Parts: sequence; structure tokens; C-alpha cells
Amino acid sequence: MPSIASQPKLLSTTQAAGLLNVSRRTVLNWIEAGKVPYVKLPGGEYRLPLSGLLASLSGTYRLEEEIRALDERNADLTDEDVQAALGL
Amino acid sequence: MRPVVLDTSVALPAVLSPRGYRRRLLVLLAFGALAARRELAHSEAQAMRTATQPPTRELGGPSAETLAHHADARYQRLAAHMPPGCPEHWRMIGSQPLLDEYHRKLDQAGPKLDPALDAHRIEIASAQLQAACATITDSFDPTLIPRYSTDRDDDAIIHTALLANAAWLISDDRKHISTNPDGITEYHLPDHERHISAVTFSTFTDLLTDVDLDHIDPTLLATAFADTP
Repeated sequence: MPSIASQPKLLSTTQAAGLLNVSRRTVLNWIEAGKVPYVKLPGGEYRLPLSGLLASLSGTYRLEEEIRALDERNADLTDEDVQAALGL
Repeated sequence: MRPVVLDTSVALPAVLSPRGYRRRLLVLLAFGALAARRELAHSEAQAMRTATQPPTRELGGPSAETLAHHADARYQRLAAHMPPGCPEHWRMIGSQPLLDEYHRKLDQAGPKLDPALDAHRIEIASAQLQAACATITDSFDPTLIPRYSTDRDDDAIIHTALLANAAWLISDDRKHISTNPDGITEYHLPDHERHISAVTFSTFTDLLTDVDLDHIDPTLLATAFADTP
């Protein structure tokens, strides 16, 4: 998983590919498809904002609904139940 | 900013016990994470504007401004339900080895609580912890870090806290609990002045003077991670 820094970071396509463990071609495909924010520099190189990149690619599942479903299922579990299962 | 690291003994109850006190702390930390993402999104939007000077440079894809507005909306939606004046400086810090350790313990303990807790649900529980992290430290190889404790798995947690310069490592594991009267155990990064204080959840709530966890609704975690503004 890439580091989420507290300072703005504009990445090259090679850096973005390395952080996300995908090929540079994949990053270029995202750019060409307009899936991720980017700046195109005069020389043709791209720069991508890290958190904007992650925000654009997130959403493989709807976490809000999944959390509500899991909470409903675990409604009766207490902190002590969980710690006992951890052997504490 | 007040960075904290949660040991598995606190993090797992926070995700699996929806009405517990540790869940209230996770909601507070999720609030901090949304504040951090909002700040970063605006900084990135500014960096993108700067990068398009001179204006011959081309912007594309989703607008960084739009993403910043989405980050604002996510923050505001949770803020509307938090206690008045609730601090947003409490930030949960993670690392890949720590997230892996959360996942491993969820795999171990989850089925004991609910035999039907399948891989997908464990993934969701794990994703909540990842989403609540305001910052993920640079990755490290847990086999190459110094030995801080008697348990090598705990060393990755302590190392994360030291890397993050965390204010507190919060743990209910007896291995971390000090017999000192103040209930605080200190770990030191070898050859550095940096140190981390480990406290129990109960001691931490005594130290948490800027907000009362009683006033935080534990059901808000889902609201914090709503998909779209």
C-alpha cells in the first residue's frame, strides 16, 4: 500500500506505478481514460497528485453499507468478547 | 496533530464491537483522518494549480478541486454529528506491517466470535482500520527492525509508533501494560532520543481531556466512510 503523506505530492507515472504496484502502462491507461487527475507537462510527461489518485481509484466496495451490515451482525459483541477471543 | 497507534488489542474490539468504547475512539480517529484528507486534498489542488503555470500545461481527469470539495463534504457530514468543539487533531497512524498484523489477528479471532465471519467480512473489518488511518508510514521489513519487546509481532507495532513519532501507543495487551503507578511504559528507538509511551485504553481515556468519548456516537463509523458526498 502506498504511503499517505501529510504533504502534497505530485508523482511521475513511474512513481505512481511503483507505489500502486502496477505497470506504468496501466497508469497511462488510467490517464488516457480520464480516471485519475493529472497535469501534462510541456515535454509530454505527466504529474499525478497522490491522494487524488487514491481517491479516484477507491470504491471497489461500498464501505458504508458493508460497515452497517457487519455492525448489525455483531450488535451483541462487547469489547470484552473480542479481547477474550484474542486471548487477552 | 496528536498521532496515536492502536495495538490489535484495541483496534479489533473497535471494529468488531459496534457499541463499545473502543469504537467511539475509532470514530474520533476517523474524524481526524477525514480532516487530514481534506487538508491534503486542498494542498494538492493548490499544487495542481501551481503546476499549470504557465497555462500551456494541460490538466486532465477528475478535477483536483472537485476531489477537494468531496473531501470537504465527507468531513462536514461527520462533523455535523460530532460533539461541538470536538478536536480533529487525534490521528491514527498505520504501516503496512501493522495493517497486516490487524488482518492476521482478525483471521485468527474473527471465526471464534462468529464462525460465519468469512474472508469478505474480515476484509471489511480490516478496511475500516485502514480507512481510519490518517497517515501510513513508509513501509519497512518487520524482520529487519530492532528488538523492542519479547514478542517480534509487537515490535512492528512499536516500530510504527516510533516512526510516526506517535504521542501514544494504546494497548490492552498485558505485555505492554506497565506496573508503574502512572500506567505508562516507554519504548526507545535505539541510538535516538525518540521514544513512545504505551498506555492502556483506560489510561488513555483519562489522558483524553479535550473530548468525552461518552458524547461520541459509536454508530457514526459508517457515516465517516460513506462512498460519495
